[in-house]
Amino acid sequence: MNAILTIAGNTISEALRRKVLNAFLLGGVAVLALTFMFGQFTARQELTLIRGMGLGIITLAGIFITVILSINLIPTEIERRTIYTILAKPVNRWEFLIGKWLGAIATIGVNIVLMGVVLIIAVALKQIGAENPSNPLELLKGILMIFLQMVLLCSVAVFFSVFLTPLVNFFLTLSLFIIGNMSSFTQDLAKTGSNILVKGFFTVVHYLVPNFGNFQFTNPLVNPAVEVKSELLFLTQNCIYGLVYSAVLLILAVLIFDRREV
Amino acid sequence: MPAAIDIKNLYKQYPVPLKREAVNAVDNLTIKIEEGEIFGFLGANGAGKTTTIKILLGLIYPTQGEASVLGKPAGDIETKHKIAYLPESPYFYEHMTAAEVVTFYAQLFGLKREDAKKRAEELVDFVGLGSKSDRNKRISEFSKGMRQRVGIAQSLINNPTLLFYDEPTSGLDAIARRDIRDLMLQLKEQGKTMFLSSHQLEDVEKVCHRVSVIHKGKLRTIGLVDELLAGERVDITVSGATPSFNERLKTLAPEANVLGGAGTFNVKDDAGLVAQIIDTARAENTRIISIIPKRRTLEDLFVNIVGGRLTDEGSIEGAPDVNRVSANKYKELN
Repeated sequence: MNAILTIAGNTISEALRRKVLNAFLLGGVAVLALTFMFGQFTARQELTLIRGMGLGIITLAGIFITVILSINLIPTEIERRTIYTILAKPVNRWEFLIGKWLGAIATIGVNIVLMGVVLIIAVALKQIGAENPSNPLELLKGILMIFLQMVLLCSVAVFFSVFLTPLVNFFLTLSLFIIGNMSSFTQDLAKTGSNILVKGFFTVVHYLVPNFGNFQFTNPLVNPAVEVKSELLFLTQNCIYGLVYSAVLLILAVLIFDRREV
Repeated sequence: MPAAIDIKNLYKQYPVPLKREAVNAVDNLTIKIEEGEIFGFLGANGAGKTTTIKILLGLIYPTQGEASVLGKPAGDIETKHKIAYLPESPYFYEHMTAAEVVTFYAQLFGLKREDAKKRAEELVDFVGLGSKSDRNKRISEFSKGMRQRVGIAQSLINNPTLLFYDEPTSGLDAIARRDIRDLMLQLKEQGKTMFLSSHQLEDVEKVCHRVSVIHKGKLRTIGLVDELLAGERVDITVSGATPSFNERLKTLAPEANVLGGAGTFNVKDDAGLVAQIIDTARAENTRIISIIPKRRTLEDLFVNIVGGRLTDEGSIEGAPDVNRVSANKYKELN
């Protein structure tokens, strides 16, 4: 456990030094600040826009931070040869991989939390003096869902990073994220495909590609008319889904990485 | 007691892209190294030295054959508590200081942060990076020699029984090379076992008990340094050589020649012949100043085995490339 935490800690400190990540974080925070520019709308519309755009911006910045960080986690260590001295120490390959993953998750978490805090403060400020203000902390549910989505996305990227180049991994992970967000579409094609091959293909895609769309919680937070029957059940189910899917991907990554020559 | 390193019929092949062929990076290698030995693993760049070390550390896997380290299969995690590795041109996290790098690696051995920091401070001092200015520098500001010192510091965290040093003095200036060599001599005095891969023949000659030469993946020779370097000639220096001594010397050793009354000549290292020369000198009133067996250098040995001179960069100059020339041409050249 000590080795995992040491590697995770080092991954965090290294990632936080990478300017590209800071650029996304700062960009995200700056765009959130721009949401104050909707003065021409009514107070209610403005709040809806800030909430919706805010969560959207956090998701977008989160995707880029996650993908750029995760696709390079293992290949950079091999390319820089820093992995030699680490694996020559009493560190199992699985400990190294989990440590890197954990470090990446923590970095992504810190970034999302920072952007989330800015959004919550922005919403709270906008509601000062408003009639029937909503609780800005409600947004935490949406931020949690975005974080879980990024945990899953990070696991996908780390899985591919043990056997693909960062460039191929970048496009493949992003493609899977997009496909995974269109789960209802792939499900429809799996049912209504023109022939058995198309049906089979989309059935496989639908069940194999992680359902990133599951984590969408923006609508209930933005639109009061949309209600989720049991929020707790919804959040718990998605937590379990994200963590189990991530665990499976990490186990597969460890199995491949264990036989890989470095 | 098991050998520190036991390699049996080890092969490592890499496929050639777009061809149904494979290149033998390590070709039927068998070596046994006992505890307490400083073993020199000599070879030019691409000879298979680093590949062998990587197999022994479990970083890559052999195509065929067996390798064990301290009695356990290569790559065993428990064994890694007792071994150390200094890679060729070691790379560390550039944003860290030397002490931070060593602390990081110390924590990988399970040391608590405070203990790891303390150990790091000791080792940074030991390798000569303890000055205030060096302590505050980041690895990105370090010279190659300083990085190598950090590499040595991280290799000593666990007080290892067995050390794998891959080209520890390669690319260093004369002073840094001497310092690193002195550090290795200190480790030798402490009774450590060391697997020293190098193409710096002078260092190997000074530090190692036993050496082997590997070329194109194959083991070409192995033996004690003194045995391998024992020469076949003896230098005899005389003074007051009389003309009759010179005459008799010509019959004993036609190639020997003493011009004037004093000088040094070189004869075959044959106990009988040397005794005859001593007797002749006595009889002819010629004074023998010294009789010194001539030692070969590792450079000579290498040239004899590989057929070319090893350059400072680790490439071979003047050796025929067996992969490029035909078998007949190679025979001719040799």
